[in-house]
Amino acid sequence: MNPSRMLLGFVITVPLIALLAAGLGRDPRVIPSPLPGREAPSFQLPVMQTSAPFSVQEPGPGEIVDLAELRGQVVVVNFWAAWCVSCRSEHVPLSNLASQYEGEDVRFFRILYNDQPENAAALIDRMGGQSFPTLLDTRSGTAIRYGLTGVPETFFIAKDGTVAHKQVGPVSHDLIAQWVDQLLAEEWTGEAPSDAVDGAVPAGTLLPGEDTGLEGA
Amino acid sequence: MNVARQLPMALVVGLALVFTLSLVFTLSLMPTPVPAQEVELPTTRTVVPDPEQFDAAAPTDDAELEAEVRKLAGQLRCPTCQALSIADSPSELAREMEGVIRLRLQEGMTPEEVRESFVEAYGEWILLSPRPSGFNLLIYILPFAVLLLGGVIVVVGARKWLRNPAEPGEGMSRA
Amino acid sequence: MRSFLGTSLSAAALAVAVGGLVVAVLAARRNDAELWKAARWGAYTNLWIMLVANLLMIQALVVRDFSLSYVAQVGSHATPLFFAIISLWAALEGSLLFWGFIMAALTAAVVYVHRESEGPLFPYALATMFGVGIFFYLLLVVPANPFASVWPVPTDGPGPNPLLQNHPLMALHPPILYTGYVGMMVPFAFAIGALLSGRLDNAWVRVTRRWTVFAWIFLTLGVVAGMWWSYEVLGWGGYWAWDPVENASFLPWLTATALIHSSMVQERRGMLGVWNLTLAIATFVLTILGTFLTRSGILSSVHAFAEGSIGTYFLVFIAIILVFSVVLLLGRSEQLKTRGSLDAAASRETVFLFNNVVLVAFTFTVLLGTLFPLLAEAFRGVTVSVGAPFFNQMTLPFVVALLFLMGVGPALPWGRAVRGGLEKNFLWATGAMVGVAIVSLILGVRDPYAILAFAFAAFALVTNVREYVVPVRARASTRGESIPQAFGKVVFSNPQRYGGYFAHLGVVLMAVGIAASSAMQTQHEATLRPGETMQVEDYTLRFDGMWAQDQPQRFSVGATLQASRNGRDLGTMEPRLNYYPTQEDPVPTPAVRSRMTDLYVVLMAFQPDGSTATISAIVEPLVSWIWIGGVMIALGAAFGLVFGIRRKRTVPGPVGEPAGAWREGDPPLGPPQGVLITEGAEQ
Repeated sequence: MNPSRMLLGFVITVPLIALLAAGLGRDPRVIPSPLPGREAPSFQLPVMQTSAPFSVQEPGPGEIVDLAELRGQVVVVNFWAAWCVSCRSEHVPLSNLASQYEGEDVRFFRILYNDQPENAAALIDRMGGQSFPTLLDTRSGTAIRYGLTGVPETFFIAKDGTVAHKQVGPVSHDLIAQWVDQLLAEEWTGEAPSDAVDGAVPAGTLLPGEDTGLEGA
Repeated sequence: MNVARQLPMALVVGLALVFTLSLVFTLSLMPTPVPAQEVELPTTRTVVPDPEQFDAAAPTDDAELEAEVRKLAGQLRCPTCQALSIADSPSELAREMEGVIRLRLQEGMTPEEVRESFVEAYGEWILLSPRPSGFNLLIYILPFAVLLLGGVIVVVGARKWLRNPAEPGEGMSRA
Repeated sequence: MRSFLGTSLSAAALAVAVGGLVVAVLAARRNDAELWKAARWGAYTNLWIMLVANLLMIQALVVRDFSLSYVAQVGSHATPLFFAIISLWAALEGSLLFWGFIMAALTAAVVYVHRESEGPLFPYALATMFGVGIFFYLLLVVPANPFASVWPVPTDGPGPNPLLQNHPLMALHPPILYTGYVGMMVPFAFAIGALLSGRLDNAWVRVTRRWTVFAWIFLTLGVVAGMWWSYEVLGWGGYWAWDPVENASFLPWLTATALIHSSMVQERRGMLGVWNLTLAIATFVLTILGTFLTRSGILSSVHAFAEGSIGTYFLVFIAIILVFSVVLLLGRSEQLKTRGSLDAAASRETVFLFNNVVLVAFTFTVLLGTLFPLLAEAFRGVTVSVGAPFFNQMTLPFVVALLFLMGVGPALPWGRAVRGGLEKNFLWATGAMVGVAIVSLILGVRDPYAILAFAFAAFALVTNVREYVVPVRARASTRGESIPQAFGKVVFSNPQRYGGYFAHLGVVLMAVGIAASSAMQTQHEATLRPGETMQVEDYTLRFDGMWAQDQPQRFSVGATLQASRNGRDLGTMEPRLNYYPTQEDPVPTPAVRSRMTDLYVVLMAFQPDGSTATISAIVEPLVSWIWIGGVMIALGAAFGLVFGIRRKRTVPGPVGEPAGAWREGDPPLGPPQGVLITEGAEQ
């Protein structure tokens, strides 16, 4: 067979197959978030009423939590709902870690997504209370500005107010602790924790004090 | 007969006309590319999460505003249902997002700014029509290039074949 | 026990396919009738094996044998019997098993129909079908074995995907669609057979055309059934979201449509040989590619029901088919060169050439849009979406062009023949086109898409209807027959042609339905308290109350609404939300009232105490035309296929109909036109 014809055959077939092969490792449900590296969208949300008081944090039910006032502290924001089964596994680690880090420059919040506060309060009661507040996000306005695609999703916000990491799916005790330690440490270099499952933070984009601006990485 | 001779021309002209018209339609309806630097990105804008404010997100009687909301909602992808637009999706999040679109328009954002504010939170993924710029232009141009190429091949081929009438019996016996 | 038996059956089918492949190739090379017979027996054997395997799985699903991984995955005690049975295609492994059955059945049918045929074409084609079979049986044995056993045996399962058990249409849609998909294997097999055997005359095209039309009918019905299911179940009032799964079924439909048309040119003029082989191969590759895209989970989709980790297998298979076919095609292309000839530029042949260009560019556009997220990720590293707004804009020119060509083609005769009335014909059609555009504008249609679609649909409608009217009137007046009698005679004189025009009319109806329902729909959403009403166009909905129903497999909440139009009572409508234990989001069941204009009511949300319900009501004109049009397309094609075969059998001479025969009934039977056509035929 004519070699040029052979070549033509490869020109037609190889790119298509290569493209499909490249796509094979891809999970279409993972939607990369543009938020890491950018300033975290601001929010001022009221604290949800629960029967048991929060052990570690002071804002009481009905008070407004304003993210802008939390500069200089690491903030962990976890979106959840009572109807979300996979959010339940996060309840204990989040509560424990919030108590564990009490007194350090870190704040934990959960934001209720698309659920009735009564349902959430009842679930918290059933699970033996929660050490830190859940905020109410009426009509999902904050969730949408955080680019929420479902629950649970967790955002780790650095001291300078930029989003350091977005975790889709349930977070484990170790994952939270690693990110919080990393962000609390002075010598934050932008390196992801060694076994964090994240590739979304481009190295070097998050030097402390660096003005990340709005363009992002 | 004259018709026979003029018809191919008419056909080609007709097709060309159809495509030009449609191309113009398509291009005119394509979302205008927004140069990212020039738009003031709205992250710093605070949507006040006051429930009463959010009630403003309910449909209004302002037909022009509603049309704009639906148009924008039709261009954005619903994150929980994946292939549907916010306008088409019955899911709760999509309804809320439509409300946010309405609210932002009412706050005085331009449709482009609203679209960019969603891209800001969700990435380019949220646009159902990729921005017609740079690499993305390929999907807007290649289809018409293929069409053109095919048309040229057929016209050139047909001209060659027309000078090449079937010998008696040839076409038939092989058919 | 079932596990062992089922796996053995799959393995046996695999072994028979491997053996059959070898025997069929030998039969072709040695031209050995005994070997050919043996290979045919292989095909029949696999049919029985797959039938038993499928029945075994159905039985396991019915008795809820949770020791089988597939039953544990899709079965549950709560699932009603009907949905338990159709769970056969509710997930990957079962669909593949069912696919295997359809494939075995079609392979057996093909060799049975052509059992008397001689020459290497058919054995090679059978070998190709066994080759495809090897791939699917391999999947059943290794990575996607539905009969794999689980331990410990669960006591209950989650039941099938809620979306799939929400509508009885799920019993029809997959089998029809799979038959269409698998059917496209046949033209591919004949194309490969022709290439391997070197019999590159037109024999393969003649044989293939019928099988292509057969598969195409099922593919059409499958796509339309999918649209209908989407409309009745997904609750957004639409039927086509340009989802990768939908595109996967549409792509081979487009190339198969191109093949059906261009193979007519080859049958008549002996040209476009390479092109038709390419189309047959492309159609099959697209069916496999579509299966790959939807089954491997590389593209997101609302209905990626049957995902699995078998992507690599599919990728290797696609690579093999592509490389094998392209090398074979290019290697033979010298031999394949046919001397193209056209007698006149203004002929149906030319229109078919343009039709092919448009269809292929259309296919390319949809394929590019579907794969673009992968491209963008590979080249830009950015995740993008390509969805309905893009596809609607970009494909509109193609749809309009196809409607235009569909109007021009039938009015032009084959060859160089010219008959009178051509100007008149186009005058009528163009008049109708302009008239419809103006009337739509006057009636308040402002959507440019819709106006274009209506206008060109009118154009195609007039020319296609005239193709019936002119010969029927001519025949009625010259032979003194009544109109129905003349109509019957004309239509049966060339079933393929008149069936084809009927299919065209179906396309027109569908195009109008799609344009009208998408451009002219009105949506309104309201939160109502009992007794309150909402208004959409001239429809009024009164909310009477909520109810709930507890079923074993789900919990349904419904709203009772009283619908009326301009004061005339239309009865109650009960949209529901269904809650399945396995799914967080409820699955809606919209209430649909289908007439000329559809009233589509969805329950969006409600207060648990029943005090309010949020109702979305959509008024969509002419949605039913889409379903009617789809059925007309299939009926027209089926008419041509069934009566065309019967007619062919009565024509003497099995190979190559005599020059006169194929024109029988071709011209309208009125004397003046008839004479001219005959002259044309003789060149």
